[in-house]
Amino acid sequence: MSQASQQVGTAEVIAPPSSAAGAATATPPSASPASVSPQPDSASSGRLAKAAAAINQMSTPQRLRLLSLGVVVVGVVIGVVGALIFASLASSLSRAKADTAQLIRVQKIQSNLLSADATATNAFLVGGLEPPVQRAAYDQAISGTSALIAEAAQAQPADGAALSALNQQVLSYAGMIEQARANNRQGLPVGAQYLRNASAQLRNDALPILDNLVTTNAARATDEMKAGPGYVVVVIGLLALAGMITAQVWLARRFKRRINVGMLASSIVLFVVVVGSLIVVLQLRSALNDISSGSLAAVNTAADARINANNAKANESLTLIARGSGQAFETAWKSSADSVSEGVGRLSDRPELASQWQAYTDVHTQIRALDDGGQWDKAVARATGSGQNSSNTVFGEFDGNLAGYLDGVSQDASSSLATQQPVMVVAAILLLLGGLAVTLLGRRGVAERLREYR
Amino acid sequence: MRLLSGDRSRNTDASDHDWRRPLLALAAITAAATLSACTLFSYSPTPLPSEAPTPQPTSSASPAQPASCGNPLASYQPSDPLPKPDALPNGSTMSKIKKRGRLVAGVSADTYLLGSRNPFTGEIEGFDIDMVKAVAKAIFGNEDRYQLKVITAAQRIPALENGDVDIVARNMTINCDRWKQIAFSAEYYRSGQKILVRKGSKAKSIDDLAGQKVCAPIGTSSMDNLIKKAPKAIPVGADTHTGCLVLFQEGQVAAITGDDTVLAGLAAQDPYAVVPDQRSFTEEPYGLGFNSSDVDFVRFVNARLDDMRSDGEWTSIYNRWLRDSLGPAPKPPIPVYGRTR
Repeated sequence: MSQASQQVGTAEVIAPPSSAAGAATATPPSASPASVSPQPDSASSGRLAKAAAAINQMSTPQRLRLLSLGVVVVGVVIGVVGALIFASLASSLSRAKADTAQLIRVQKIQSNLLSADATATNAFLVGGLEPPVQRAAYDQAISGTSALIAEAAQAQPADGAALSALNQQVLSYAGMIEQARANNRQGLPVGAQYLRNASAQLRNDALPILDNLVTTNAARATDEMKAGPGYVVVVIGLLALAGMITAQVWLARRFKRRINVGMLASSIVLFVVVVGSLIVVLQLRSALNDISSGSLAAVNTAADARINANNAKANESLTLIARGSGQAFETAWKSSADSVSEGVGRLSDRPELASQWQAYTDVHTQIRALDDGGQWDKAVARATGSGQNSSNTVFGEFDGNLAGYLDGVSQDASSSLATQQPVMVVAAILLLLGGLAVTLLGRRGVAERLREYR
Repeated sequence: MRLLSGDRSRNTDASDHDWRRPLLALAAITAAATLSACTLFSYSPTPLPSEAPTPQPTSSASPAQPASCGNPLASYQPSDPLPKPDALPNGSTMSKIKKRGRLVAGVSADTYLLGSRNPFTGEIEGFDIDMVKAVAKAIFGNEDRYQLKVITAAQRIPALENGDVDIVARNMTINCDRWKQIAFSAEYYRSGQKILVRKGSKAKSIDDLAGQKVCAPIGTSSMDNLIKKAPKAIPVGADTHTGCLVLFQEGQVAAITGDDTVLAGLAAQDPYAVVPDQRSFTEEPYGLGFNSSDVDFVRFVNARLDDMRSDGEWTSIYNRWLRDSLGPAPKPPIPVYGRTR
């Protein structure tokens, strides 16, 4: 059995060497022009030509060994680089998910704080004895804010400094509100000043920090939602495939056999790897585009609308508290309200949000008409009451509905990012195995030929 | 087939190695690279907003040369007799106000005792507000026909010039600088500037405050006087006197300066704030402010103030708001008239 195979092997060896040995021993004339011609060229092309000449001077077994090494390199590069790139895409996705969660958290802190301010200013209009419901709503918003800040600091260490600065602002805001309350309860006008200072500090010092946190985390999430590096695998794979085909053409010519099973199998695996990678990368790209123009865009729009809506509500109360000289607050109301209208208009899947917001702006217009017409008391009653048509009730419906919608789209965004992650992990593992298969199959194919020279 | 089997039998050892080496190398490189990529990864810290420059307490406009205008206290001759609400002269400022249905007054909502919001009722009340009510009663026969616009000290003159309000009743000192921009009624209260300090403080007068931070509202004569009379004190500005009280309670200023009426209102809100016994270092005659073209209205209000002084209404308003803090009612200020321009 073994002898027979050896005979076949020797027969093969005898047949080809006529040209191969000539090339190896007699410093073939075909090689010399290649080594001479590049001399006037630049150093690098000279070096390339020298390498080509060196290969030309090799014996066939030497070339085969080089080919075997090349196949190993191709397999390792495809396997390692491919696995690394897809692993990095998977970890990018997990960071994008974390960044999106952080973005949502930070936006929630912002709307919580403004909702606390809207409640505190509204309760202030009522008088020294604030309604227990509003007091509870304020307390809940503030304690929710503290919890979210701690959670956010743990989730993203890079936000630590900004969150600690924010925490100081929130503490000082809450302190001033408490002083406003204590003084207001005793009927002392200095309470109003503490409230004004607190609201001003919130807008001048705390909100800019939150704006930074929102833009930074949004930018981080966008940066991480990328598919581009995946194309590198495809390009490397195509180059490797070209190399493999060239090698097979050479093998076929040299050994007069059309097909080398190992090399062919290796090339087929490589082809599958390339096509598979391309499919994975393309679907990732389209999924990411869907998320950023779909649920993530909705998260940003809804969060923005909620923040602006609560800002507007606080400004409504501040306008009334300023009693006649609140033009600046009313101007601020207008600009916030305009961006809310614009935002909810874009949330076309929830048309009732736009109509609920419109209902609130109608109530606000009536309040302004009352106040501007000298009926401050009636305006305040409308703004602070809890009746069917009061500002608080109408606004509460809108805000509650918007908050529910926001929770929904937030979950959509993070779960769609989550579904992509295992795909990338599996792709990384398959690439590693694919690279291994390319190596082993290719080496085996070359070894088959190499054995003929033993 | 044969070839394959022979191949295998001969290369068992070698192929075993072939198998493992690349696999191990692949796994090791991948693991190392992934690990280092993960541990080395971190974002640059989120930037903090650049520190906004803390607004320097502007020392208001320091009047280089006090304007002269004869006797600043001289107002326009009162209309005689005071027209009844149903007999206001046609085309007069008063009849325009009456047609609108309410008197619009610029007031303070946080100057305790003079004009401040009562948190229990939500109403703005005080000595100055009662002056507004008296004027509303003269126009409408009903003292409740008024609308209050809360303004800061610095907004008093612009609000009158723009016509946002008909009258300003906000502890406003009559002086020549202001006469150039607006008109005043006859003096309706005589106040004087004093200092408020922390309980136990050694400072008894403005002279003892050198090197200390002293708060006064921006754009007021209190601030101007502070800079003039105590150049060594460090002036700190706020929007209102109540803003000064917040700074005082936060320990950011050592003292507050202002009219004794205002300081009495601040001291009443904080048991650790006292107005030491001292002679006021300025005279602050309060007047009601008007647009400079509403001379008929000034005459009308002057006549109303005359009546209030003579029938005891002024004294009862004083007693209602200021007697507890400032002692028994003094004689009402004596009006001076004779302004022609």
